Amino acid sequence: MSTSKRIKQRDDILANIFVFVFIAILGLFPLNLKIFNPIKKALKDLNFSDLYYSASKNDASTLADTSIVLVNIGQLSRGEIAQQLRIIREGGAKVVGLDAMFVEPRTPIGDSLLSFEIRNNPNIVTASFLSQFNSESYELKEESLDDFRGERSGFINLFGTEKGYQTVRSFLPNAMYNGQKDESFPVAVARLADPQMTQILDERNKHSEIINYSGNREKFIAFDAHELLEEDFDPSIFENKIVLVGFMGSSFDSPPVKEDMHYTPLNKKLSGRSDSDMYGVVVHANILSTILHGAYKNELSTTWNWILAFIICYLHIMFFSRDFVENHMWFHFRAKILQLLTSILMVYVSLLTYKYLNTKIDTKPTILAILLSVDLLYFYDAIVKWLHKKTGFETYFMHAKH
Amino acid sequence: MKRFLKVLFRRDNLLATLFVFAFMFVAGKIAINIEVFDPFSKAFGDFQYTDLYFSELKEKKDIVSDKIVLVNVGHLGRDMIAEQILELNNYEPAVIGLPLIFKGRRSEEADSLLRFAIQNTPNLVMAHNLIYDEEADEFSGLEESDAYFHPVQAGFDNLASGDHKTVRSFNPQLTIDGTSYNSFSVEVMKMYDPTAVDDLLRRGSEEEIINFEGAGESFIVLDEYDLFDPSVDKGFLKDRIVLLGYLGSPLFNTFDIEDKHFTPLNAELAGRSIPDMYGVAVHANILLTMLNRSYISSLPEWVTYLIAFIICYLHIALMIQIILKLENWFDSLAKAIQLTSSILIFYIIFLLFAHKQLEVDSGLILVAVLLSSDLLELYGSIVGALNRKFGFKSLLAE
Repeated sequence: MSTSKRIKQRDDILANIFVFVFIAILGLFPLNLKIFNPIKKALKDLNFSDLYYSASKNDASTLADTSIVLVNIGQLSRGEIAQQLRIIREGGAKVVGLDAMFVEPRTPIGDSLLSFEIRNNPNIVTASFLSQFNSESYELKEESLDDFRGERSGFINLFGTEKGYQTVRSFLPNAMYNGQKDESFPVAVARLADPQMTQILDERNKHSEIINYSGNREKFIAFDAHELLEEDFDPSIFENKIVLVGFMGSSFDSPPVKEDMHYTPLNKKLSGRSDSDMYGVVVHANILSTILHGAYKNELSTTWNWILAFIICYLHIMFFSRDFVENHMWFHFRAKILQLLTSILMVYVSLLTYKYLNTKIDTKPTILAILLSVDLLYFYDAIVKWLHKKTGFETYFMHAKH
Repeated sequence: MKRFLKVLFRRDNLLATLFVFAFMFVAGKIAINIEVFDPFSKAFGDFQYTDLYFSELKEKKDIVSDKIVLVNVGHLGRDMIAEQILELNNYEPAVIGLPLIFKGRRSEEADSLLRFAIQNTPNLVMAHNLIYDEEADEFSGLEESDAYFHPVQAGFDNLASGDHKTVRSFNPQLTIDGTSYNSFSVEVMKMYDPTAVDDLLRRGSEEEIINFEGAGESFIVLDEYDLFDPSVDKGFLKDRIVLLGYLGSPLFNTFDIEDKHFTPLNAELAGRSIPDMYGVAVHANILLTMLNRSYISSLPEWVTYLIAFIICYLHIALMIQIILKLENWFDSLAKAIQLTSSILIFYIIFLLFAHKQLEVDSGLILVAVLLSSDLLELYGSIVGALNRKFGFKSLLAE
């Protein structure tokens, strides 16, 4: 390798390191000015993998998962919910997940009917809600009254939704409650329905898993509150099915109710202000579907994301430095165009890897490095030229014809 | 001084600044419709930096005014709303605002009681809605309460909040087919303080910025049944503006979004959030703006363009000087200047907004400043090429 090539290579590596040192310094000393808060917030909400779901999973013409049936409890009384549970049980459902809590007594007749249905169905999973998190474990568990608890239960918390508007992208299979491992509601349902597939989830042993969304309510077989009670259908539809019973609005036709409704990647507006789009029970159905089909998505670790960013940025710097020195007149224009094109390309490549390789790449480090590289190359050029003047430091940039 | 003027009035300064504005004009005409940009445009689409003033910088008061009282109608039926109105009459408020529309007929008993309450409350102002025809891009009709409840004094209660838009302003008056209609707030204020309406209309603005003081919680509030509770002292209602409207069920339920709007007071300035203010509280803020005469004026568009041009020109002049004197450090210095002056511009705009009640559109000025260095580089490349081909003279081509 000739000396000039070696010097160029050294400059490329140094310039690339310079980019990442600059990013590290930016991270260490963030500009804590209020005027940057809205930008930070808007960018934090953004996740390009949402593009995949919103573009491909909103078509309701085909059902996503026929092994799961959804039943709306709407504003039904406890007696009517008990009637729903009876119809589902008699229909031969494999497992019933009851995504609702009954924390106080109501009418004696309704309560006793509901209690009878819950306590006499060995295949029912009831819901709990964890709260008061200290750094390691939850301290409080809200549950239905004893009479309304099944043999198995799971927490229905959808994590990251405490403020009511974060997008639900992943779930925790387990959480610590008073030092003990507690299972989430969809995992408890899956364990009863298909222990083998749930074993795969256990073996992955991940703190959180990405929800591989299949679709909203329209993509599942779903019964509205009174539809089921009218019994104008073949009850065998429930045979061997997993039935999730929960709140999906007063009725399917009524305006959506914000209660237990969440933002998901299926939202038609990928960012900014919008209405939440999915009821909690439908999110649980999607989690369940992910587990039952073993349709897990893997995430590239932070380290690998930064290594990838380093490599891709280096390839850019290699090109940029040559162009900077040898064709400086149009360098800036060409570099800006390339930055834009490769940033778009990175998003598309990450969508393809998400779809076909089931791997989520965080493109933000790569795009950030690419976007900073040109301006920091100018800065690097100024520094090495100054060093050359002062110390005789050899640099490829000395040959730049400005 | 002569040297300074020479640096300030170079031909390249003017040409490069014109180049920046020509680029912005062309880029504005050619919308970049690439799907990956969509999330960015949505995230920042309905975002204004002056919202920061309301949500973060403006002084927060527990109670913003004792002149306006809000009463929650919750999910009460027509008969109970009628009872609320009749009960209110006992305490002689100056005006009762009811920004609700009672479409069609319900039960005879409830409807007749409501009609009785309306007809026996001369200081009652109700609402109608102007129907907007999207295709024609104009208001085409009026949506009113059932004729059974007429005649009523009413004003339109339309708030520009469609498709999750943040409510920042209101129209005092709108015209349909040559007929002018007053807004609900204007009709209410006419009964309380007609001089405030005169002052508003004298300004002649088609649209006024709402100088938000606080959400519903910052007003004196009575819940659904408080009016009927003998233990609640209601003497304070005398001579007050009382607005009846929906304030959640239960009162101020965070997750209840019925008739709730995004406003600049939202805790999240951009990105995902939940609406933060009930419609009746927005009306209360409009009334306060009128009462306090705390109007915010907007700088005319042509003045904003002129300021943007001058600021951009000064940046270009400085940057060209840096290129000529410190070429190696140009890009780094230019970026530092852009960052510093952007922050400075923001603060000046905030100061004008907060202390001089003057709104300046920061977008155009900031875009011009932020594009200036990159476009100056491109300008340099172009004049360099022109110099080689046609001998075009430029300081950046030498």
